[in-house]
Amino acid sequence: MLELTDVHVEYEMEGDGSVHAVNGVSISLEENKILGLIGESGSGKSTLAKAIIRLLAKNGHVPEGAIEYKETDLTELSDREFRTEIRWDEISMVPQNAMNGFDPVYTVGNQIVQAIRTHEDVSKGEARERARALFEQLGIDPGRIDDYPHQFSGGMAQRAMIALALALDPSLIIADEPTTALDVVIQDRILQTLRDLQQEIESSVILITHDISVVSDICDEIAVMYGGRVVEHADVETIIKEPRHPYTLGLRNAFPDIEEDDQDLISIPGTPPDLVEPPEGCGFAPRCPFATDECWDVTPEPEEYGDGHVVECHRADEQELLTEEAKRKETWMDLETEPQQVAEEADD
Amino acid sequence: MSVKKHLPANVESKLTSSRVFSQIKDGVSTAYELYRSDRLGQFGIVVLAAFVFIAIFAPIIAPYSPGARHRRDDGSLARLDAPSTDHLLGTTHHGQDVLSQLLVSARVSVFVGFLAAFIAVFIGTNVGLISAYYGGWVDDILMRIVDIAYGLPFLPFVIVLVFIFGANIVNIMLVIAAILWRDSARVVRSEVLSQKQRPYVESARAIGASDFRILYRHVFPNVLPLTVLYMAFAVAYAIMYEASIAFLGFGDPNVYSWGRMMYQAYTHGAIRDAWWWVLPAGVCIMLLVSSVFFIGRTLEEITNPEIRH
Amino acid sequence: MTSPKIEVDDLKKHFKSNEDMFTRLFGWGEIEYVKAVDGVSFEIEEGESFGLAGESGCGKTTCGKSLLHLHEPTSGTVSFDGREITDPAVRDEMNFRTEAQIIQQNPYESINPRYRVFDWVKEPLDVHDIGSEEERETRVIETIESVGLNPAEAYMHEYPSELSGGERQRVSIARAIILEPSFILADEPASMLDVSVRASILDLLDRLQDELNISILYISHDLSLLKHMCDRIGIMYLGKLVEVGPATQVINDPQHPYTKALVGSTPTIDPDDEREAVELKGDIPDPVNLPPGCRFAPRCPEATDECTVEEPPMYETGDDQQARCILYDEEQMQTIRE
Ligand SMILES: Nc1ncnc2c1ncn2[C@@H]1O[C@H](COP(=O)(O)OP(=O)(O)O)[C@@H](O)[C@H]1O
Ligand code: SF4
Ligand code: SF4
Ligand SMILES: [Mg+2]
Repeated sequence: MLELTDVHVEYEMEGDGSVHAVNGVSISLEENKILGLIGESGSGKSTLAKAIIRLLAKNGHVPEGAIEYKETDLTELSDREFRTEIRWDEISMVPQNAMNGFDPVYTVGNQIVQAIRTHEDVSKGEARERARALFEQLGIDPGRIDDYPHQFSGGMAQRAMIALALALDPSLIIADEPTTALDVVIQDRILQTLRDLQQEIESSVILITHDISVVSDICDEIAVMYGGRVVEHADVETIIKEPRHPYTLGLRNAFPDIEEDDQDLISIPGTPPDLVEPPEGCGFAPRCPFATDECWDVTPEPEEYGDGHVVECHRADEQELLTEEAKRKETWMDLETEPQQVAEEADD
Repeated sequence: MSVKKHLPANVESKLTSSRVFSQIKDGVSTAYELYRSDRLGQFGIVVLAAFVFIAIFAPIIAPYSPGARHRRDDGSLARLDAPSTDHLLGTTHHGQDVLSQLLVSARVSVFVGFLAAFIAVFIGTNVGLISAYYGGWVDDILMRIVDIAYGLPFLPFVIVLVFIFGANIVNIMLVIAAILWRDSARVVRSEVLSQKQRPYVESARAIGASDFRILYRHVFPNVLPLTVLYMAFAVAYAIMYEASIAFLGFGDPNVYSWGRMMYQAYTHGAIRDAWWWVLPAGVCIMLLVSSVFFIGRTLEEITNPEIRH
Repeated sequence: MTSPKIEVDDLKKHFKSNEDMFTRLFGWGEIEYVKAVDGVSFEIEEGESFGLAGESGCGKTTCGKSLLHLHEPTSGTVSFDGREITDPAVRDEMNFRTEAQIIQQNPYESINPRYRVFDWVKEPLDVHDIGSEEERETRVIETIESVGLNPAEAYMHEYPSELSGGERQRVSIARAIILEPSFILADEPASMLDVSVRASILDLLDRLQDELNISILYISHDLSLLKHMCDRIGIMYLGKLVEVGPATQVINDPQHPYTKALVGSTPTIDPDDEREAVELKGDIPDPVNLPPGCRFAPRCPEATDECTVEEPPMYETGDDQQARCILYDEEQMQTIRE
C-alpha cells in the first residue's frame, strides 16, 4: 500500500550546508498493519513521517526518492492535490505534541467537525455525532466536545488528536510518539484504543517511538532507524528475538525490561552520526564493536535474510556470534576505552 | 561531538579553547553583524559616541566660555546676533556664544541621562528581583509601591520635589530616577518570576546556596540582558525628562543645559526670531534621545532573537 | 541497630491553591489546599536505593523535595541519620546541605545556562568554603572525570548549551557527588534521555552508589527502570504510599489493586507475552477534594462499599511487603464474605 524507494530528506541550513536527516530509505507497508519505527532521537523518524504527509519544516525537502501510495507517487502531486485528496482523507497524523496540533481559539469539537466537513459532504449535526462517537470510543466524555484545547489534560488532548486523525477513516495513520509524555495507564489505554480502531476501520499505522516495549506490544513489524537509514526491518518476533544488526542488539540490551529480575543494562557508547556530511561506510561503525575495515569504507547495502527480514550490515550473516558477543558488557566497554584505535582505523 | 571521542587529549583541549574563543568571536560578530545590517543602530552608536566625546572635551572644544558676554566692534552688547564667523551659531540675548553653550550643555544631558538611568535601573532591578524572589507580602508591598509610582503625575511631582529640595542638578537627577525605576521593576519582576521556576534555582538551593547568592549569582545573570535593554531606554527617557524640566524653568540655574537654553530663549521672547538660539539645542536633544533609542532597539533584537526576523 | 539513613514519618505537604493578596493580608475567603503529599512514611537504609513510583501528579517529586526541605513540609518529620531535620539549626549543624544532594529530571534546565561546567561543578565547594582554590580545582577535575567526562579539560569550559543531554546529566551528577554526600535524590534522572544514553547514566549512578556508599531515592514513573535500579520501592497514589516492598517482589507479585494496574499497563519487550491488563476507570483526580475512605476507590476494579468508609491502613501482605488495601484486612474480609 505504501512503498518508499530510496527516499532522501534534507534540511537546508543557513550557510552551513544541509542536514541529511533521511538518507535513502526504502521500505514498504501492507494494508492493515502496524509498523513501529524506532531509533534514537535525531535518527530521522519524525522527518520521514513528515515527508510522507508533506508537513516538513520550511527548510526541508525531498530531493530524491519516490513515495508511492496506492500506486500514485505522492512526490508528484501538487500541494493542492495533496491537501484535498491525501492529507486527513487518506493519510492522517497524530503529532508529537497534541496540544500544538489544535488551534487554541476553536473548541476541539469544532475543529473535528470542520475537518470532517471540509472533506465530506455531511451536515453539521452528522459530523458532530461522529465526533461524539469518536470521543466515546476513545474514552473521553462526549460532553467535553465543546471544550477548548487548553481545558484538556495532556492525555485527553492526545486522545482527541487521535479522534481527529481517525475522523475521516484514513487508510494510513502516522502517530509520532503519541504516548511518550504520558503515564503508563493512559498510554496503555491509548495504544489499545488505537489498535482496536485500526482493526475496526482496517487502516495501517506507522507508530513512531523510542520505546521498544511499546512497539513490541502492539506492532506487527518494526523498522529500526539509525542515522537517517532503516538499518533493520522485519516482523516483531524477529526483531525482538533474532535481530541481526548490532545497533538493534545494542538497543535491546540498553532497555530495562520489567519482566527481567536481574538485568545488566548495557549502553551503546558514542554519539549519533554527523548528518551534515555523512562519511563513507557504515554510519554505525564508530560505535560498533564489530566494525571491520570494510565497514569503515563501504556502505552496507540492504540484504534480505529470510522472509522480509532486511538488514544493512556487512556482518549480519554472523548472527550467532554477534548475539553472543553483544550480550557481554565488555564487548561494548572495550570500545569506550579505546577510542584512539578506532580513530586510527578511520584514518586508514 | 563525535569527533571529540577520537582525539588525543592535547588536541582536544586545544579544540575546546579554540571553541570558546570562537564562541566569543561569534557573539561579538553577531552583535557586529546586527549593527551593520541595522542602519539605525549604527547611526545611534556614532551619534552617541560623538556626544560623549563632546561632553568630555567640551571646555577644550568650546570657542569661548559659555557665560562670557561678547561685545560688538562698536562696544555694544552682542545681543541676539545672527551666526557669523566669530559666533558660528550666533549669540543670546545676553551676548553669550550659543555654540559654546551648546557644547557645554552636552555634559548635563549625558551625565544626567546615564546616571539617572543607572540609578533607576539599579533600584528597579533590585526591587524586581527581591519582589519576585520572595513573593508573598514582600511582593505585595513592593508592587503596591510600584503602582503608586505609576500613579504619580510627572510634572506636579517634579515641581513639588524641586520646590522642597531645591533645583540643583543632583536633585533633578534623583527625581528623574524616582520616576523611571518603576518600569524596570515591573519587567525584571516578571522575568524573575519565570526564572525562579527554572530548575537551576532549585539546584542552587539544594547545595545550600544563600538567598543572596541565588539572587545575584544565579538569577541576576539571567535577567542581565533585559536590564541592559531597559537601561538604554531609561537613558533616553532621562535625557528627555531633564530637558523638559529645564525648559519649564525648574532646572538648575547654575548649569548650562539644552533645556535651559530653550527656556531662556522662550522667556526672552526670542523663540520665534532667534532660530540659532533655539534650533541647535532642540536638534541636539532629538539626536541624542533617538540615538539611544536606536541602540536600545538594536539591543532588543540581539537579546530577543525571536523578533529578529 | 543503627538508625536508617532517612526516616520519613507522616510527611505532608499541602499547597494553597487559590491564595491571593486579600486572603494573605486580611484572611478573606476560603483557601483550598492541594494535598500533594498527604501522609507518607518510609525509611531508606544506608547504601540502599529506594524507588518512588506513581503516575505524574501523584506527589513523588514534592515528596522528595519536602524530604530535602527544599519545600517546607506542612507537617510530619524527616530524620536523617537518626536526627530530626525539621529545625534549620539542626540542618546547619549537621551540614545537611553537604550530606544530601539532588539530581533533577531535566538536564536541559537544571543547569544555570550562564555557568560553565567547571564553575557549576565547583559551586558547592565555594558555597561551603571547602579547600583552597587549587584544591578545589583539582577536586573539580577529578570529579568531572569520575562521571565519565574524559578528559575534563574538554568539557570544563563549555556552557551547558554545548553539551548533549547525557553529558549534561553527567555534569549534574558531578555537582551532586563533589561534596561526597551520603544521600542523593534522583528525580527522573534518565527520563529525558535517549534509550542508549539512559543505560549509561543509570550505570554511572549504580557504580557511584557502590563506590561512595550513597543511599539513593529514585523517583520515576517507569517501573521497569525502578525494578532494575532499586532494592525496595514504594508506589504512590494521590499523595500517599499504597504499597511498599522489595522491588522485585512488588513488581512480580503486586498486592495493591493500583500496583497491579500499573504493572499490568507497563508494556513488555517480549511480543508473545500476553499481559493481563487491568482496566482503570477514569483519570487520576485532582488532589484537592479527596474521596472519603480509600482514595483509590473511585477507580478501583475491586472496590466494595466498605472501601469508602475509612481510609485503610498499611497491611502486611508478605515478606517485608505492605499494601494499603482493605482486602488484606482479615477481619474485614471475614465480615464481607459472610
Ligand atoms: N527544521 C529543521 N531544520 C534543520 N534540521 C532539522 C529540522 N528538523 C529536524 N532536523 C534534524 O534532522 C535530524 C532528524 O530529526 P528527526 O526527524 O526529528 O529525528 P527523530 O524523530 O528520529 O528524533 C536531526 O539531526 C534534526 O536535528
Ligand atoms: S556494517 Fe560493520 S560497522 Fe556497520 S553495523 Fe555492521 S558490523 Fe557494525
Ligand atoms: S481498599 Fe478497596 S478501593 Fe481501596 S484499593 Fe483496596 S479494594 Fe480498592
Ligand atoms: Mg521525533
